[in-house]
Amino acid sequence: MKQDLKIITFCCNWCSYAAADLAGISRLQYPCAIRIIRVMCSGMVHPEMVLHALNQGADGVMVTGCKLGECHYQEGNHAMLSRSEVLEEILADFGYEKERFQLVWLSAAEPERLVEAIYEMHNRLLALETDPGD
Amino acid sequence: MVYEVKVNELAEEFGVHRNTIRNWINSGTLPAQEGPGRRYLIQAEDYHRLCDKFGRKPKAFPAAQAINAPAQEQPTPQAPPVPIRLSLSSIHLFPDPALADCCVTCGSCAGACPIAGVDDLDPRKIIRMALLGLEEEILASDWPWKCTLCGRCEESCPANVKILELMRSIRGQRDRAKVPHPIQKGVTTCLEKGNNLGIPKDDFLQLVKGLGTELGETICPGFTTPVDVRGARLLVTVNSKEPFVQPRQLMWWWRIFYAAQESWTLSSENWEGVNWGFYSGDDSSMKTIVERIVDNMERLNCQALLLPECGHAYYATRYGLEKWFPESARKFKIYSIFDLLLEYLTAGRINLDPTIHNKLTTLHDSCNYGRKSLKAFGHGYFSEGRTIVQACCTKFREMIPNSGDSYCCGAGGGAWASPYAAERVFHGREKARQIKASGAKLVVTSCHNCKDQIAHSLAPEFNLEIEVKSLWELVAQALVPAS
Amino acid sequence: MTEAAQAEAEKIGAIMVVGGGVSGMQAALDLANSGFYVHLVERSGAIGGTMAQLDKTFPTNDCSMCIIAPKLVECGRHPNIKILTLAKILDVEGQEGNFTVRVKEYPRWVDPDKCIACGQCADQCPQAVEDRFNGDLAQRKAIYIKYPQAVPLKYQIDPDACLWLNNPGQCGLCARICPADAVNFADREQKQTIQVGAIIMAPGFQPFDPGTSQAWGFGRYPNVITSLQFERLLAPTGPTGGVVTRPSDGRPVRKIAFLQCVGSRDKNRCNNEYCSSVCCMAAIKEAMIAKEQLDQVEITIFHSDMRTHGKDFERFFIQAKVEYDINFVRTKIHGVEPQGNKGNLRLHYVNQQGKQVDQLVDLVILSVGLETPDSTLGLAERMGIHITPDRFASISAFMPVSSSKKGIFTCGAFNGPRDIPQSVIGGSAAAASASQLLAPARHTRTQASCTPHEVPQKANSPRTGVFICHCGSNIAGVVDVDELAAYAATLPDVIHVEQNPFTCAQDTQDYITQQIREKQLNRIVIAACTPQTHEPLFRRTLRAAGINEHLIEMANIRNQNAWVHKNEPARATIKAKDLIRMAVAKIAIQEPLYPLRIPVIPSALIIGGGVSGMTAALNLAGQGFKVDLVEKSTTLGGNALHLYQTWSGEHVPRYLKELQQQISQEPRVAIHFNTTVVASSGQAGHFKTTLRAGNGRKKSVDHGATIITTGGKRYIPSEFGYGQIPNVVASIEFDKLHMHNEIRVTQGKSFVFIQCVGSRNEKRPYCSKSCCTHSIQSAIKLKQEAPERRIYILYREIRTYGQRERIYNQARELGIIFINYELKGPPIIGEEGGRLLVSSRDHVLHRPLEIEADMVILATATLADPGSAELAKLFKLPLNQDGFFQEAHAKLRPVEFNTDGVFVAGLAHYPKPVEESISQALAAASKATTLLARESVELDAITAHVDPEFCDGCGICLEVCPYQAITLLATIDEQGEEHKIIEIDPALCKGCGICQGACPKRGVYITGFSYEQLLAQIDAALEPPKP
Repeated sequence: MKQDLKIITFCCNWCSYAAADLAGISRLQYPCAIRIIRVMCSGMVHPEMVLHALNQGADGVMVTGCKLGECHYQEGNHAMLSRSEVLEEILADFGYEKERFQLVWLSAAEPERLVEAIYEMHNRLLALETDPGD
Repeated sequence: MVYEVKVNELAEEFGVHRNTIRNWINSGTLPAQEGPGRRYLIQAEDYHRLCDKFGRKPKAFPAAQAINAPAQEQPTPQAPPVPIRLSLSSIHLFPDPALADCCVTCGSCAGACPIAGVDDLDPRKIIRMALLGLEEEILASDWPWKCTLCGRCEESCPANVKILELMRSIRGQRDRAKVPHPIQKGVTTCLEKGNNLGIPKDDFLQLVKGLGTELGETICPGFTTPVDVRGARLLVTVNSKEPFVQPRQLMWWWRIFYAAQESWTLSSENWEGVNWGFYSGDDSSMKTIVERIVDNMERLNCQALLLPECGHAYYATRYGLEKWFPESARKFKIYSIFDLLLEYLTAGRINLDPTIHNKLTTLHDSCNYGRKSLKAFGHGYFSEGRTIVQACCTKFREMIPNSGDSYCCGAGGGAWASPYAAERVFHGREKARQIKASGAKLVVTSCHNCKDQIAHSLAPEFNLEIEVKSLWELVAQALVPAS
Repeated sequence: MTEAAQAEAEKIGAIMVVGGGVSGMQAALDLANSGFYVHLVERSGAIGGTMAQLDKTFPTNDCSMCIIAPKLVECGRHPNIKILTLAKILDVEGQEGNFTVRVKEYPRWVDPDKCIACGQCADQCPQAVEDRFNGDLAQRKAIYIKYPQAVPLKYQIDPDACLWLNNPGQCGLCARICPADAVNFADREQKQTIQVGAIIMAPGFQPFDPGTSQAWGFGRYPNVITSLQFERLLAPTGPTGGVVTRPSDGRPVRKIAFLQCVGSRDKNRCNNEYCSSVCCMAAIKEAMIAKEQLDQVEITIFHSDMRTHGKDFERFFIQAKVEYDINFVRTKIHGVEPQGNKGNLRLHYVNQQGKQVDQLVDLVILSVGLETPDSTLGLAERMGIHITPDRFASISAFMPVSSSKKGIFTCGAFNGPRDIPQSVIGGSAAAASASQLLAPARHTRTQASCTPHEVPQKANSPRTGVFICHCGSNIAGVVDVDELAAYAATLPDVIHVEQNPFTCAQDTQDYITQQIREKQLNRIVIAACTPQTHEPLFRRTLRAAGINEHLIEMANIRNQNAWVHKNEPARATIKAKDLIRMAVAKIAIQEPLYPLRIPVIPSALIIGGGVSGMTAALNLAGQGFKVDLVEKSTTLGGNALHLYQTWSGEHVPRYLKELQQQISQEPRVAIHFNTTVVASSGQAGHFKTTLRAGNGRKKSVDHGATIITTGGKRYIPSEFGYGQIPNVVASIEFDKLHMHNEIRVTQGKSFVFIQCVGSRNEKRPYCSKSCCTHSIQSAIKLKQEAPERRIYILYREIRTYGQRERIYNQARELGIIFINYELKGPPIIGEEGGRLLVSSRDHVLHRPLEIEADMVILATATLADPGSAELAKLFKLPLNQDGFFQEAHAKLRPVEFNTDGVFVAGLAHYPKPVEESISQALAAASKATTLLARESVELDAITAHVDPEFCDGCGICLEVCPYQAITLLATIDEQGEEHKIIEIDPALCKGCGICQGACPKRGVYITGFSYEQLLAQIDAALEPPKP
């Protein structure tokens, strides 16, 4: 059996990073697999960075940002959203299942939503690990 | 188009009892034909007319229930309504802005009013008509007479429109010949004969003396009825309905006076305690009737006045005293039945045994004693009645809502005497619903009209299995002889 | 020295702000940022006010906490704001410029300097009581924080609930368990005397208590709740985690009724005659959120008039009806009754068709009004502040934040019921007024920010120090900190590792400073809590140690590790190692950052010489700044030239004259009549704008700030026979006829006003806000002149919001008749026998009406100035759909734009009455002051940079940059070849990094978050564990 999963999670400084802090304040619990990297905006995350993380052995990558329409920088999250379409194609070309990448939009006051997304991602990745066809 | 309806469904829709629907059908208020399977066939237009009468939004019947539907419904051609003309010549009958002008048309009064919608009118519409100067229509309308002056509208009005005063003002401006006959007759009889029902002095004296003798020989040894006793502490006024209809009811009070060793007297003249000038909007008659009581107080040199167990009698007399005889109002102590009973109880002048009444009991608040007195005189009788009832009963449960938000029985404002029986019963549906929901088997009330309406109209109409008692009856029955 | 000069010299450069709600916080921040010291006095244990309790805010429905949190944190850490919690004013002596305030501080029983907010005390506390913050729908402990994001985030003890305080020796568990030894049962109340130059009152409101009347069943039926309680039910941080269920039994909610005007517009059940102004919008918002959560739910809002008079409010209202399918029934519900004993509630009402309806619902929400608490009224009396009959601070429309007592300013809901934007504007406006009063004392009480000499570092040789925080047991209780420390020492470049019980403690800061110096550390990793709250603290520590403040990285091993994996200590320790490794890797390639500083030109350009422009100009000039006031016409006054009185009856022409006189005598204001703006460049603090005079001559102006006050236009109607029927006139024309006693007016016996002409229709779905009040005032005047006159007002919704409701009631009492009409059935104007005949329908009797009229007066819409579009393009500012300037954020930054240094006020922003324009103008002046009072502006150090080695000038980044901060440069090299490369304007760049995310060549990077740094973090995170 492989070591614990590792999920690289990019968190936007203005919303999801604060939500992740609030998850702690609220003592919500989630799997240890998450490694949060703080960015100023989800729009800062380059698609190659996602690919790089998977190539380096990450089991999954999450990009989390402000709700669409609530971006601190007007529409950086839209930029990420449109990039993600291309990104998904690239990932497929490299043989990564689409389950390994996920976008999540949430506000600073929604730690539950973040935790829910983490669980979903984690469970999906676990399912991939145990897939007999793997 | 013809609808096939069940009595139950209609009753639910209009918020009334099955009996009421059957009464409507029998009386022709709702023309209907008996159909198969305990159903009735009604014409669409009759149904819609009924909806209009009680201000309901017509229900869209499912197609299955509409039978014999013609291929194409012919709308009945109606003449376009004549516009209301607002010209410089339109008249204001009600110059005080608090009667209509300050209305913000928010609709709370209409929502609070239990007979809103009847005749397609409600308090808000009446106020509006007064505001727009539709004087002829407003005086011709029977609606202000169907209104029981219960004051729920006013209680909820955020603009403090004096709705009750407006209703009385409308009633007062109507041609006296067009005032509902029993009410106008009551007023004129009272002015002529000293009491509403025209009971001659001799008959009255004979009746009260006879009843007194009977009481003295049975329950209250040595009792005689005091009449015209100068210097008695308490002058007791009488609701003429009691000697006329149920004279033995008078004895409930006398037993309490006997137990409390009260110094009291009746007057042989002008003993009437109620005041229908209040109903008819006739201030001058109202004042005369109040003045007679003041005269009796002076003549008999009494210190205190007891107004009868009757909401409007208390309200009207007190209102008249404060308005026209403020000095007398200050000079004499004015007792409502609550004040007196509570005084007896707290002073230990009477002792009560609550185990006499074992049924689940509820108290109906009279609008006049409660909500309206609170507003007019700064004190409403809510807690007093509860204290007294709970001293006489073992099991008590409130109706919801109660006290200041209580529903009128449907018979106030002269409605018990007026010819609008269907409306009175419709109004009472709320009270009937409340009584039923409380589960009480004994309903206590402190007002004669309320008692009559609940016992004689609502109980049979809504199949209520209840007993109704006045407060005095309840107390008199629970009296424990002083040891 | 003359007496006046003496008084000026004795002015104190400190201000007391009373009330830590959003209005008070805004005032405090503006003043602290303009060179004044602020004492922020808050009665409860934490600042934030009512806004902290709200779930979302209208009309954008964005999260309330997310909006308020930055202000909370900024207040909390501002060196020139001293927050006094659990404090109240006892009394005030002195006069403007020099007040002595006695303040009482109640004991907290927790030492705020020691408390680390770990929450162990509350976990163990045996006493639970109802939590007022959560509307009594949940419980909290006797030792508690007001809310999780509270500032200051320090526990406090509720003396009524605490066992020990009521019976010393009985419990004391918290004191025993506190790892920081912060609980202090010996704490006592303290009194102190504070000298200030001015006082700003922002004490806020209390919600009306509906339990005072039986009718609504509040307190008796559990499914009857207030709107504020419903906010808590909706809030994800609330007692139910944001899941709405019936309070009685937790069952799903299917039918909700909102009852409006509970405790407002009611002279009977309460004495609150006024409209509370915010409840209509709050109800719509709450209904929308509930609808989003519960898709089957049926929602009805019972109301008298929907008062959606603010910017974008009407669209919100329409959206609620059309998209959300929320029912609006125009009737006031008299009371609530239970139906059966299962928690259902019964409402009886008359619908708009006049029919009786019984409706059963699951949940009744009482939209409770706003009122001033008695304690505030008592304080106002002691301070000598006059109060209105509606029990709010008495203020002049012309001085909308000045109380009757000189030197005491007021803002927020104390000035009358108002929403968040108005409160924020009021806070800034009060700050502007105080700032003007105390301008001579600016910078006399503030702490100069210390900038110690920075030791130059060799960027290539990192010497990293790692400080691991135990945070009491918060971290150490889960993570094996010894193992962690041992591991950290093995990481590359790590010279020194330290463990601290509380790394944030003041003594640890001193120790870190010492370690940096001794060990010559030049990179610092703090493994502790979150940078969101603590990075600024550690940056200050680095500055104090003489190294660049950006050479620190925090590893979040508490909030994002120990707290969220408390049941998996082994894994949490592994993760903590990863987090430290990632931080060490990132900081190793961090460069020192030096923010760009640009000098500020201490002058403002104000475009538009109406009331807003003049107000802003006089305020700024009064503070000593130079102002260029540009007016395109030849007179000052703008739209106010057409006004005669404010809603409260104050004379506008007299006020205008005063303003004009003052401004003409003010040497610091240069007025440019007949002039327009034709070009502008530069950035906040340093603009250059070209003006063109009527004669075509151009001149250029240098200024640090820009305020746009270009006003609005009036709508010229095409409906109701305007322009064809002579006796149909627009309201502004009518005012003139009325003032000049024109014969049609003097002899007129019957007048009909028609409201919403050109407003609230398909083309212009917004409310023009001031027309209801205006028509009612005209009507009252007509009626008072001749009571026999018949006056009718045909309206769609009367929007006499706030205390204006009084004149609406007055109009009705005078016999003015109000008739409602709907958009789909407007009145028709005909003629009969030489008079006008207005046909409409009566909304109560449902019958047609014909009104004989001598004159018909149309209340016409206020439109955006058509010149706004040009100006918007010049300054790169957005306009909304209706052509008004779109502020940066409706709540957070109501007079600002995303373009720094440019502000807006008055009708250019949205239609509004004169006092709101003045308030907004003062707010814009305050914002400009925070900029102009500085010598230079420091731009954020986290910005984009070009890597010339990789950038090939493809220009993809140009398209994605939201701030147009990137331009393309073409250069010709020696070979004559053209090279393209981008250039970034550091003044415009906000450091979002969208360019970095889009660049295919890695030609652009964000300092502090560079591609390489992020990659280093990824690689470190994924590094295989050592055997």
